[in-house]
Amino acid sequence: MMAGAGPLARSALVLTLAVVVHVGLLVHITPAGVIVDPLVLLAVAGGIVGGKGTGASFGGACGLASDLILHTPFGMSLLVLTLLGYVSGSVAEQIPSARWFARAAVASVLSAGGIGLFGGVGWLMDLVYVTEAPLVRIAIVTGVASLLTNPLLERVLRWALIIRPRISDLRESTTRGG
Amino acid sequence: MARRAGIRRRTWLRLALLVVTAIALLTLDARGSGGVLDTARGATLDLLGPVRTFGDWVVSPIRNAWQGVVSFDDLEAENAELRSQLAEAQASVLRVGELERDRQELLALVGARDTAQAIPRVTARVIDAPVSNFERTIELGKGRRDGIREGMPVESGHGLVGRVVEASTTRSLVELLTDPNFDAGVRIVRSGDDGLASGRGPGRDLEVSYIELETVVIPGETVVTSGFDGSTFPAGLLVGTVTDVEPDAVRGAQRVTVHPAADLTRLRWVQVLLYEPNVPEPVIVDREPDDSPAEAGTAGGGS
Repeated sequence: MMAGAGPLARSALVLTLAVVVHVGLLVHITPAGVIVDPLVLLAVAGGIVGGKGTGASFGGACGLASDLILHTPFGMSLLVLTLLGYVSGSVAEQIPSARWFARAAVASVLSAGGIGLFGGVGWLMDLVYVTEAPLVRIAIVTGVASLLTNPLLERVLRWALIIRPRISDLRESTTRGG
Repeated sequence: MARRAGIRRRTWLRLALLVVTAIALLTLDARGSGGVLDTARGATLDLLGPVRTFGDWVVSPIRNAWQGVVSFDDLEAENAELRSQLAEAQASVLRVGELERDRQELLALVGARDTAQAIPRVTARVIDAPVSNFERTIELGKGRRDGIREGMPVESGHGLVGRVVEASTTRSLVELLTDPNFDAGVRIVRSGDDGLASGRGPGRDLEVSYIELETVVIPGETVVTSGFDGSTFPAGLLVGTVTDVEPDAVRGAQRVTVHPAADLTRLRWVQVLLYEPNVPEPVIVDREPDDSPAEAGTAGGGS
């Protein structure tokens, strides 16, 4: 049904699903007491598959969705995830032929860094409940979650943003197939 | 080359636009003028409410069963401890009536009428799982439809929990009394001294300021809301007990530490007091105009 839809509609669907999965399921599954925020993982994956421009836009959309469900100051997630998407895109553009596992490792570091950025903005805004949260633990768990889910999220976002697979991925699948 | 420069410029513009929008939204939110933002958040809260409830309903039995399996020994130990506590509670139940009488007398003594008992309440379930790792509020399964409004006090069976900061149609968010933004006028029951209790962050005790140096405050004393005119809390809500007292010579007051009576880590059901504060009537000063008839008459008579 969504095959003919544009990137905007597909992205909206992905974001809605992410929010539903977040509030309905992920809030109950808390490895090491940490809630994995899928919107952070999506912002990073968006930057990796789409580059810095698309990363900033998709990160911004993730941030806006996040602002609607979180109780932190409105605009904080928009700021953080926009920057995170942009930085992810910039980093990904430096490693255009990286294999999927290398990209997953990069996504992992970027996602953990995103939590650090959130903490930094919280510190600037004097939000004690952000700065006093166990940021290192949250960053590690988010990083691991990103490492595990990035290949899947990349596929989903390539479909949503209508981006062709990378040459390295095609080469890899051809090698495997033949 | 020119095409690349154009793409780069567009990317920068897009980024700048998003960052400026974020800063504008943050400013709007900080100024408290985010009517549209609050509405949007309220609508999202309502929209996702059933998803949260459904998720809770599906996951709770699995989680409980899992916890039962992995922490069977702990549960057994806890059970034994609860049995001994129950025995102690049964022994002390006779003292409760006497203590309640004492409390009423003390409240009467300090002029804090126990009005809290007469205020209608709405019992609401606490939605178990927080939405993020940076949560400063708890979510209740009831909202405006049930009469809940922003600012209303919330208490558990043990004492004050916080105040409602956001209420949508079917949900509401409660700021806990340990939140650094929280403050409330309180009264130390024995001395009758009023102070201001402020939160110091999750898991920490409250700090009561403005207690005079001469006032004798003893650890273990009860602290209740003072309920002065205009306060969002009625008088007599149990806040907690004094755990520490430190003189602060610089401020010329004592710093009193209070441990909250309510266990904020294990909230399942709470009561929202449908309390609207009595805002004091504005004082109207009757200023006689300079050219009032009386004055004019006097002036006229004098001349």
